[in-house]
Amino acid sequence: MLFLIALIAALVGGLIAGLKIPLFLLPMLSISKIKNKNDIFLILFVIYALTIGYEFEVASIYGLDPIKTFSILIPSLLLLDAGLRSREEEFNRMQFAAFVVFFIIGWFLRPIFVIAAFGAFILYFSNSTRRGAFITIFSIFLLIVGVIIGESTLNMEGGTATQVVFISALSTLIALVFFWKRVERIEFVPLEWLRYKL
Amino acid sequence: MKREDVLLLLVILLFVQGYLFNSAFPAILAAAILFYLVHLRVEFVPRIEFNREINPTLKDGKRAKAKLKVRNQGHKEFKIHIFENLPKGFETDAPLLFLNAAEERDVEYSIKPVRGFFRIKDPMVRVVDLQDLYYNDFMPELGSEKEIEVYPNLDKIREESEIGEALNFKEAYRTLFGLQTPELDSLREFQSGDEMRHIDWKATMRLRKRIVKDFIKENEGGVYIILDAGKEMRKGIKRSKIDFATTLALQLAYALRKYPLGMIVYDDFEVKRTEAAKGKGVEQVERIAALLNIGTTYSSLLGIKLPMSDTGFKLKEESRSFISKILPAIKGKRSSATGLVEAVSILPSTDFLIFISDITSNTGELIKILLELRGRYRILLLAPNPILFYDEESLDRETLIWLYRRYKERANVIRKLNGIVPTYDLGPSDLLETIRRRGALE
Repeated sequence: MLFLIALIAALVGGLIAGLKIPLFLLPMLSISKIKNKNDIFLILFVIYALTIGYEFEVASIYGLDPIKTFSILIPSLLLLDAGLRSREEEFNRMQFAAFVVFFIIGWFLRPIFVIAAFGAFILYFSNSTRRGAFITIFSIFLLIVGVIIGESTLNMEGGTATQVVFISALSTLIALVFFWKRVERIEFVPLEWLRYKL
Repeated sequence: MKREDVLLLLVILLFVQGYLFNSAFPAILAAAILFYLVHLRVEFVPRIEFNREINPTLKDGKRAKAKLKVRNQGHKEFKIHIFENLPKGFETDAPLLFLNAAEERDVEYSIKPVRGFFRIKDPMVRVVDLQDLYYNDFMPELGSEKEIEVYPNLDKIREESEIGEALNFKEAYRTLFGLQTPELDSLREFQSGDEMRHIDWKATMRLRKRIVKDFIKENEGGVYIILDAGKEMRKGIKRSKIDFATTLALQLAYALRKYPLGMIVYDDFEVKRTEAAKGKGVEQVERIAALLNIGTTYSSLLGIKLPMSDTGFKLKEESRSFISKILPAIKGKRSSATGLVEAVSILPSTDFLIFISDITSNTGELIKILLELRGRYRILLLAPNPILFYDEESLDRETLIWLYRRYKERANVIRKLNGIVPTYDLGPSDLLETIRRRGALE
């Protein structure tokens, strides 16, 4: 159910932002998920994210359209999480119908779409631990504070590249604080299934 | 490359894309994915407790239930993989499950054991996050070792014996059951190995299945199976002669369940186990089955001695005779009598003896004993041929030539033994064809 909600959100969000190529990739993402080929999904998502970056332009973070930006950003994260999840949640018809109705209304009344997408986002991560939720919110908060503090330096004509460098540097530094924790990581083997077919 | 690395690569690509395309959105998306990964990493704190219960007495080839009690002490739902570290030859279908936060569950799965005595540890449990990015392995505790004994599976043997196909062993089987009298005993359903001329066609037409006549047999006395469990019989890589011999012994025991049946198991030095021929029926077969938890001693060669080079070290006849006398004493045995001599010495009066033995290890002694016994007992000698148990993969030219020589030598020994008692040279497919096809010995 979560994947379906994410898929519809990505579709409507893409239409709101006027995207083309990413929308054509959505059926392939769905097939890879249905076929349970998680590593193929990961590759397709990389392409999907890069095509969004190619098509959707934001000249300056200080002048961005929050409705359009969140219409793409939140559904993309939902899609990534739902695609990676190895266990589907039980299908709740009422919940699903409510989200679909809000997404369709949101096509015409865009703030409603963003609110509905944000609602789905909270539903997705509702089982997070306090620690996990706090650290994520704190990281986002630090980035926003950094961007606000640096406005005088970053908000100038032709300063997009500087803004990108600033965001990447700050977010990488914040992430590195939490990346010290050693965990075993799962191998990426996208074509393992082919070995048995050939 | 790891799955997480793909996402980190995407993050870097998005940063670069944003810089080159003069667009802030790729950088925002990259930061969002990065924080998503931070979130998953921080959330992945697995804490698991587990303990497996398994019956300490199992039957060979019969799936036994193992119960694993798993408790998720973490605050998140996790995916749990169970990896059993079982002895060679064991099979398992350890499952995959999802465990909610603070949930405790009993997971049942099956283990298919092979005969022998083993110490097994608890399984390794792998905890994976729901996004399949991170995992943590939980190893079994040091004191989790449990002892299990695996006995031969009588049910499987019984089932296969009843529905088996044409058997190479038919001739021996007939000898075993004794000469039949012309007097009709009963009618029964046709089984493989039955002669076509004994089919009762009238009953077959009436019941629409093949029915054969059973005649009263003259052999109504007790039967003893004398099984050699010496070193030569137990050596093996994948399967040893003892695997075959114990299964064969059990098949014979089941086939002869109507007669008082006993068993003696001996090794190179002494008698290891005995079951007197006091009872009959399936209960007696069960008791005999309990004597047969004899495992394989894994070695580089399969149940046969290494070829000796012509220039190799050889002992003089006197020296060899001297060593054969003192060796048992060195190995802790009081007298020079071997296990076979001891086994024969405790034989009560009975009608029929079935020896299952490796005839190459103590041929001279075996011949002497058979000559001694043949006047008093009806005897059948079944000899698993080590050459037929040889691992095909390890064959080379030299070994092949050596095997051929051994084969010829063995043929001579068999001919000699056949002059004394009926002797059958058996390979792994004899009698066990159908059982092996069904995977009972895999």
